[in-house]
Amino acid sequence: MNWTDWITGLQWFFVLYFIGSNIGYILLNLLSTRTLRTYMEARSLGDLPAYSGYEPPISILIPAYNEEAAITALVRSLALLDYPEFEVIVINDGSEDNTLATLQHDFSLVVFPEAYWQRIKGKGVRAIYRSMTYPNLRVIEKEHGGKADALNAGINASRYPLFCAVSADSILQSDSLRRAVQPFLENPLTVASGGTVRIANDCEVKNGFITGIELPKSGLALMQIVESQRTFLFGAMGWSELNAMLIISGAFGLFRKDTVIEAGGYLTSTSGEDMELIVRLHHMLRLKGSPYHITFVPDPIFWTKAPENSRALKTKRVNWQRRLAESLTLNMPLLFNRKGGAVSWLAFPFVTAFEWLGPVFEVMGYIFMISGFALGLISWQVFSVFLMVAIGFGMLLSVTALLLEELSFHIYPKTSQLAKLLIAVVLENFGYRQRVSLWRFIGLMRWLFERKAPAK
Amino acid sequence: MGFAAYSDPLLKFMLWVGLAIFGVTLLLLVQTMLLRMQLIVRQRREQRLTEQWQPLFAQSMTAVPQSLPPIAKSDWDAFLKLWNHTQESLRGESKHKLNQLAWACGMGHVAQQLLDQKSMRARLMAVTTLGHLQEKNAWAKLKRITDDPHPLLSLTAARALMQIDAKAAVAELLPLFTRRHDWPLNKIANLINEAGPDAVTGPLTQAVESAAPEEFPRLVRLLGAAHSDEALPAIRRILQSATDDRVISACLQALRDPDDVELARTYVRHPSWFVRVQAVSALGRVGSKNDRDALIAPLSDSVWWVRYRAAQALAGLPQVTLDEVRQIRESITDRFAQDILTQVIAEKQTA
Repeated sequence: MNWTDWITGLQWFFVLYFIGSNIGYILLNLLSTRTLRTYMEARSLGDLPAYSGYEPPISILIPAYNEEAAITALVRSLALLDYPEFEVIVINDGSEDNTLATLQHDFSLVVFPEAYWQRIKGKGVRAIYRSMTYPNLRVIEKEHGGKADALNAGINASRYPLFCAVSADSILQSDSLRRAVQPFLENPLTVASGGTVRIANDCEVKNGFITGIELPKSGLALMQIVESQRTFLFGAMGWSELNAMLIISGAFGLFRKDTVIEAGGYLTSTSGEDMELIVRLHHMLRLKGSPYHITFVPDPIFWTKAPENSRALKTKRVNWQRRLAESLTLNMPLLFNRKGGAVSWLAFPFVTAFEWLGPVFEVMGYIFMISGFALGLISWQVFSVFLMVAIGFGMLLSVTALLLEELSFHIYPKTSQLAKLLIAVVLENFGYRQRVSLWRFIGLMRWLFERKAPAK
Repeated sequence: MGFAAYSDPLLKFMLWVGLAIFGVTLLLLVQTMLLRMQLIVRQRREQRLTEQWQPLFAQSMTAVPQSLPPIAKSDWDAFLKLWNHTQESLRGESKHKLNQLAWACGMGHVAQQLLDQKSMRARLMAVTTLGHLQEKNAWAKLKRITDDPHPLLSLTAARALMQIDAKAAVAELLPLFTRRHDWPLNKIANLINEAGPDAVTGPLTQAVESAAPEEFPRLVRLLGAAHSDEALPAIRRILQSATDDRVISACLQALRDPDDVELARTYVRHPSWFVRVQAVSALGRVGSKNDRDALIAPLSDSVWWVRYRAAQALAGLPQVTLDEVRQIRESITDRFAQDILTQVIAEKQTA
């Protein structure tokens, strides 16, 4: 083989890699379209009486580390949730700011002599407080041990069979719990459910709830809306249909407590505890042969602020990639495991090839093709076909996500908002996606050479 | 190939793939915009229809208007949606009045037509409408739909049957309540609540008595949803001879009568913790001050939930004061029992 054969082989490898990954996403998209259609039909007649007292009570867990600015608004908004029975447990994970003092002041906390049941081992709990003004609020004051350790402490203190892990910076909808609990009511085998992350930048927020939906003014945040639609509406939805969804956002996830305790709770040695827990639940339940379901709820369930500058977004993406790598490598025996079904044979290999290792091929592909073309080693015809395929597929996937949104929830009601999103769908492919690929590549390299991602 | 030109067949193929992707993307962009336009038109039409029909709905509560505007085929869906939503918010005689209006508009026949369509939405709408209309002629078709594999459609058909004739429907649906595990228990409970205890308690009680152990917990929970004491004798009989832990646990959950205190006491030391937890909870509900001592031993149980429920039951017993609970805490030596009592005392104080 001479060097021209190598170059030819490589150029076609990259072109075919891009085609292969995108065909995979398109298949997922088709699956999501079918599922979403059925879901929306069912939802359109959702006027049967909603409550009967059979909704299981839920423990909402909020790990808080230096959250004095946001914690009061979040807890107050949770008190207004439209759900028959729930408790709120804030876990103050050894904050160095005034998180505890703020909570003590705003919610009249008193020390409560609770018989703490430590089913999952963790850092020491210093005290448990109970609110005199909000009877269903408790606060756990503990040594700093990271988000996973805080959630484990919350699980230990929780009273109810389901727990909902919520980030302190999340904005919930008043019907978030009602929506997220539906899979548990409809299928008793459900062990976890999660929803779509919606971007809250520039939206109107009142009493901790979104009251007016606007598109962000920041171009970067706008691109993240397109990205989020793609990731959740057809990524998660498609995998959920195959019961092979590997990720539930750490910002909002509802879990069956007994199953999580059986799995050992959140893993404190990784900073990607949210992703890792889901992969581990699949791992445990598939290998045991226990029937179960991990479900995606497409409704808007929670909102969060997206970074508006490159630096913050880069940090987020770099860390996300490292966490993904940690989650997958910790559960590697699940890959091509004969007992693992769709998780082992479809989702895990797909995520490994296109999400975990994807940035390597994407970045290398771009570098190889651009430098090859610049050096005259690759013809302009091959180069243009590569760009056409890479960018064209990117646009196609984003447009289909937007179409799914339009077929379902049309979150952004104004036509001008839709027009803006359509422009973002096109522009996102000229610079933004490549930058994100590069950041994820950096994340992958850091995981490889530095190992542990910074704790959250 | 490194210097391939468009004449290369593979490259040519790839070029066409690329062009096709752009073409499809463009089509989807157009479709997205068309969908939005369609949505706007639909919303306007729905708004117009709501403005036109809401006053007529209100008027029909006293008397159905003599002349009603015709409803175009394209408005059937929007009309039925509005009509069904209004029906859900009404009770008693008003529902019948609104039914008269729907019949006068020919919507009964429209619903029958929609029942035969392929679209899931149309069928769901039809089934819901026929249920509200209590259309007896649709019974056979609705009965068939209860066997549909789609849980929402079949369950909606079950609800429609209950609305048409609750007693006859219960007889038809009882086997499905136990067999259809894809029907969420809370939705079945809704049906039972809507039908009322008179229609369901008798047949449910009979079903409980002849149920297999695996069906039993589900049926007992449904009996609980019917809020009826009629089933208690059957539950007692079953509890006396039950050996399956799930059956015992479900029966204990249903105990409400102080006469059942002996039954509850029997299971306080059962080997399964989830039976023990239900037993101490039942003792808390039906027990008396005499059960004080029976609840002290479970305070040292190995399972937190048994300890917690025992402490709650103890503190909630009639004529047992918080001071007495404090005295019990001082008198026992087990640290776990002391801790759980401390917690429950604090809970009582702050409640």
